[in-house]
Amino acid sequence: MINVDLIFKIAAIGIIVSVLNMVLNKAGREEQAMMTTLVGIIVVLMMVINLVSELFETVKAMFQLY
Amino acid sequence: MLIKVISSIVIIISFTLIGGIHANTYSNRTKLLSQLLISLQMLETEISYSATPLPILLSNIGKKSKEDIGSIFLKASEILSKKEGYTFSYLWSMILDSEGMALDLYPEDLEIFKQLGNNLGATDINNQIKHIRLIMEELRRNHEDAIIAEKRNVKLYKQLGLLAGFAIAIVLF
Repeated sequence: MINVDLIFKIAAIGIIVSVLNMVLNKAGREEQAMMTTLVGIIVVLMMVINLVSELFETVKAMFQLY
Repeated sequence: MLIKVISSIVIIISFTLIGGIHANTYSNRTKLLSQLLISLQMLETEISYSATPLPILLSNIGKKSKEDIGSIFLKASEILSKKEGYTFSYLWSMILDSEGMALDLYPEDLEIFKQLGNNLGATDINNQIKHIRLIMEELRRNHEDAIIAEKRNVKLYKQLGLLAGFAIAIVLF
């Protein structure tokens, strides 16, 4: 609902990270494949973290769990 | 919107080309090594069949070889003919240190090629030919390694370039 583009971006990054992982594994460079997977996770996390903190604020305010 | 599409296409193309350029270093090394082997073969033939003195010999080989390797021989012949009093082995390592860095050869390859300087013009014909053949054998081994490395790496770097371009374009837009 809010900002559907973000979902598409995350999906595209996921696809690219998995293709990169496959290519690097097949070429024998497993450490670098692991590294790019981690980098992909961090990038997606950075893109999403604002929304997640907003979600927690909303939940706290809604249930008045201060 | 149109600017976004155009700039992401530009980013993807440029990263693919960067990957292609890096892949080129591998195929260049293979080509250079095979040119080197051909030039050394010509050197051996000229030494065993004619008694040309070193500067003329080097400039003949330099003119007959392809540009990258030939320029090294030509430069050596040029400095030798100026008769500035350098010994051939000092001159050879000096030239290889300055010119060889610009080429795509690995340091091991350059070291083997430098060995040539210790023997040319120093001993008699048979010993020189034996030394040249020894150097050619070692370079042949490196040449086969280079072919294997090229096959493995060229496709990899081109694909990596393309994927990295896609990733950056998507993250930015």
